[in-house]
Amino acid sequence: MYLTAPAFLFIAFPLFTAIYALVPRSVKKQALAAFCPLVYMLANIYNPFSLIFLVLTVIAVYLGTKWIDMLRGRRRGIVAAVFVAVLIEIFVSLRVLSAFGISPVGYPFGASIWLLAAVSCIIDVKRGDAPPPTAVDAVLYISYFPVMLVGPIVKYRDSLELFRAPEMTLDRLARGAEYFMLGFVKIFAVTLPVFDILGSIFDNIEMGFGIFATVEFIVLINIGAYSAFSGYSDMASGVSLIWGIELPKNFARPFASASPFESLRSFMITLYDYLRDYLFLPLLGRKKGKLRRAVAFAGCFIAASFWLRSSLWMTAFAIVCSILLGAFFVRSSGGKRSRAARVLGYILTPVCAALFWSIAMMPNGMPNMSFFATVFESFGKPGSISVLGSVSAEKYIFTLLTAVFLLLISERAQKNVLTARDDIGKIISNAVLLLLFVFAVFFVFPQYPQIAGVGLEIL
Amino acid sequence: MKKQNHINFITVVLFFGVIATLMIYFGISALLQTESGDRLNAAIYESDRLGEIIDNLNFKLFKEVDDDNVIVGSDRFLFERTNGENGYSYLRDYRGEASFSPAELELMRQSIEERRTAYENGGAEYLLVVIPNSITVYSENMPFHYGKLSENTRLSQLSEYLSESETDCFFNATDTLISAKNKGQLYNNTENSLNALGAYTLYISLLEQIAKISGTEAIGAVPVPDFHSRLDIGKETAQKAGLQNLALNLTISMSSPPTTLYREGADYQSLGITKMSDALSELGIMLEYNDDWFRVILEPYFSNTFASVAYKQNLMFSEFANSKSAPSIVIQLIYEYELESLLDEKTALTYGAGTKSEGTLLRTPRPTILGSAHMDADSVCIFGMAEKRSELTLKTSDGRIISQSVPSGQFFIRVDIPEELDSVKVDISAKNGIKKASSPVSLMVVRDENAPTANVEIGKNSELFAAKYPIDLVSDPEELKSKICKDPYIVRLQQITEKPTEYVQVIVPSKLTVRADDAPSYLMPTVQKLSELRRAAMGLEEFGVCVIDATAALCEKDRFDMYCLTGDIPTALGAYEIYRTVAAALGFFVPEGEPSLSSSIILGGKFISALGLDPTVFSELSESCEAPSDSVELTFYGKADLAQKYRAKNKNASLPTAIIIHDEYGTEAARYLCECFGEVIVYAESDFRIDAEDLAELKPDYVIKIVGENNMLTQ
Repeated sequence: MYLTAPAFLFIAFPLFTAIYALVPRSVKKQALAAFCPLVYMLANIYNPFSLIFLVLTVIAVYLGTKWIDMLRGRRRGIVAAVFVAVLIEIFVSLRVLSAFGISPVGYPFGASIWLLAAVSCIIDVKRGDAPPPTAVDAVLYISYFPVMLVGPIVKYRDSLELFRAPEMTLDRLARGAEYFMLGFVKIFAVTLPVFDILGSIFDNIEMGFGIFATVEFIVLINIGAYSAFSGYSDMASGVSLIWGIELPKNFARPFASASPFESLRSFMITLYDYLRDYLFLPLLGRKKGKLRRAVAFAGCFIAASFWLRSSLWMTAFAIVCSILLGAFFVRSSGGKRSRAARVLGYILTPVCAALFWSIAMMPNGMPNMSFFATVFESFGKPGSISVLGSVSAEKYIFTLLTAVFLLLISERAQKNVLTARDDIGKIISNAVLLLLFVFAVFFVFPQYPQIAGVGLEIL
Repeated sequence: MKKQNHINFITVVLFFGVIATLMIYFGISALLQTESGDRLNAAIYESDRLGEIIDNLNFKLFKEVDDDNVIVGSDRFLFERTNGENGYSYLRDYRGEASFSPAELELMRQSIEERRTAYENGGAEYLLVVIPNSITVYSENMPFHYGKLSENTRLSQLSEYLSESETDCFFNATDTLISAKNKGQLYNNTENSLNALGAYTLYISLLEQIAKISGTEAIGAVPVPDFHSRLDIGKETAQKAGLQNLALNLTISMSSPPTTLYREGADYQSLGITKMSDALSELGIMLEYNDDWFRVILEPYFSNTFASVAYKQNLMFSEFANSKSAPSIVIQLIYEYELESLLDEKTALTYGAGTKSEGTLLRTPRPTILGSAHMDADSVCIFGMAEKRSELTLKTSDGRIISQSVPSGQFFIRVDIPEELDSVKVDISAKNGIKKASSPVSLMVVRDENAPTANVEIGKNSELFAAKYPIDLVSDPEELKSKICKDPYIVRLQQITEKPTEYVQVIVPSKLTVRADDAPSYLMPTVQKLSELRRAAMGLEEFGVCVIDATAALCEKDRFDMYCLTGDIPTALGAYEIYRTVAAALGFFVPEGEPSLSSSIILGGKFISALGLDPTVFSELSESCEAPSDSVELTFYGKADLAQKYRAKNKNASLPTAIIIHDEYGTEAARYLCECFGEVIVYAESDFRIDAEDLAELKPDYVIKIVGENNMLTQ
């Protein structure tokens, strides 16, 4: 179930949290393991394929890991590899089919996350990093729905500790509430207005793009992408914290990146960690040569791009970028850059990110060269569109101020300042956040019915 | 740590408090939903109350409305981005991004000159007035991020171009209105229209222009009325955005309108005329516009100033309007957003009627195409004017040749677009007798899949007929006879009048019967059916009804001007013939010889309306005849219109009395028939229910019903 769905926000979440609070700590894990599949089932009651698919995945992981655990030597590796290959094949097929709208069964909600979780579980057990999951562990780990939209992606071996003994404390409840409100406000008070503006820009692109509009576009698309992903991620972290589970940090400071690599490392950290652990390092092997490092990096970049958006544009762009970035990776690795290069990097990185997210927003299907021709011709046209024109100046300023405020308190949260004593800043920020939350939930939330059931395709 | 816990505690309580409040609020709203389905989502996303609050807040906090086409400016002003009717973009023009090309500007100049020439040929001066958009006059109220008003708007471009080319029949009211802004708000803030104060400002500036054009000294103006302002519900732009209760309109209107010294004259659909004796100016003015709001706001001023003012709601050339109002000055009022209409081909074609070539002794003048209209998706009716009694030859680009005779000077030709083509180019030339053929005039006709099928067919000699007559019900004439005669009408009639009142049924043939030779052959069965219908109607005589069939009389007079070219009803001359037939049949005095005829322009007939055209623009040349004597005085019960109910008294009171009921076929004939009676009540067109009071009071000797033959069943 989507965290922004009314049925979750106003029924499932408060009711379950109330019951969960009354459940003894020793059985909270079991309560979660019962609640999560139940919610998933209710949310997908008209889409039985998703449900069947989830159940099969849980069974496959549970039995598969038991089998792998029993095996030794080469056979253990082969069985694990077969499992992983099948899971990846299913993931790729589903993404490609649904991207072109030809999937007969649609795309199961959360499959992008739980298939990665299943792969993590298989590999961790094969490597001996973690024991095979119990039935409760398997159900909870695979069907833990708060993270199903954009994560954070929890590796199986880490999940054992996270889910071991959830404990509801006042501190966690408060931080969870803050995270939840932070994410909610990011989605409704920043992401959606920003994407409205960006949509308007795309609609009127033939009017021309002046320099000012270009800068605005770059800033807005970075803000939009960041607040969309981190918003859902923060909400997942918030819900989990309220339930006593502290998920790993998923976003650092993506705007303070001096290179695309830094940006990648700070944007969806858990995905980066996941790919590093399960793809980059295995591809790198033991030799760790520069070329191999570049190939491993390219593989990770293509995989991450595909995971974010499965479209022809994105795949083509990812292949080209991975080659360029790989080449750059080879040349630059190990060397230190000058201050001027870093300053240039701070300027160019958002531009690269804007290009990346622009491609992610492109519609599916065959590339349309006339679109690029229009964009190319539009730059620097005297009668350029004004980004402001698509919303009122008041709303525009409000959105930007909210974005800055949220960015600042996100930074505070990342630094764990929020737990410091006598922090006046915390009182003010919490008060403002609460007001923004009330504003978002009363005023903005009812204006976007489509968000109740929209996932990553928001982009 | 304690303080920290307090903060945490308050945060948790407030957070869950908000969630719980919403849970209760939306939960109860969901339970109260009457419709089945997803009640919770409906309570949130489809709640009218919540939607209203959100719209309110959006408007007040962010100056945003739930309509992408509306821009919220300062001082309560709402502006539109795009005009929904003609696609004009206010915003792009405001920014100077929608400029006219030099070729377009030249075409506009030519269009304006052509209009001027057409009106000058009719003896009137011409002035085109452009009223700026509210966004132009109140550009300072636009949100700052749209920038300042461009100096390259379409209006400023056109003004400059016309000024350079010394076209002086153009008046841009922008400067006048901007300089008058200090007097008060001139435009409605929630609609792109002038208010009463703006209208008065425009009126004063137009008086100056009129004085300049007519070479007279200053024209006296209606005194400045007292204006008052009030907040009303939002007008059109606000209503489109659903904000009429939120974005209020500052309405400026006259506290007390000027005393109406003028009287309403005739009203011909899109044309209305007012007259005033002892006016401030003896000039006759014709105001032409597309937006009828101009009449609403300008009539109190103009009609109280000029001897005659015609208000015409289109910008097409109309000989009918010119003949009825005989203006000294024609003023066309257009809004800035309508400038592109100067390039409208359909409008431009109509001006051909005012600028038509005269030809020479040796060469037939070129025909003038006044327009074209779709008869269905792939058939087009082209109409225009050519020399009287000439023959037209139409050549299509796919090699077809179509001929048509033009006995009256107006022509209609049907062109079919072959299935395999989307458009056809046609060349039309005229030839009259031994004169050389004219040079051709060309037109492109294009298929229109969405065109409705018009109930019009074109026959020989440019005659228009109905493609279908509503007589399909007549399968058996005997059945009809019983239907007509079963009503004991006459008995009741005579009981009320207490005398042997004679009931007379006059049958007026349709044009199809009289001009059957000109009709398409597929209408021949209809001609036959109409004939049977008339025969069946003669059966009424068995019931004591006097039946008079005017068919023979009208058929005998084989003249083109007995019936309207563009309609199905008799002309004044045809009506005169019916009058003579009826008078003779009833034994009254019948005037001898031809009536005194005069040429006139009459409104286009019903086939013009069926083609979707304005009958005041696409009028018809006809010959009218004077009333036989001046001994009859008419008194109208309401509007002075022969189609309405009126009473006629003859100086010779010894003549019998009558009540006449009629449909459109009998309107003119009824007037002539008044000559035969001492007193007559003529009922309004198609009103066949006679008041018992009228019968009892007048005790008529005759009740005469005059109807078209094809209407007998439908009544």
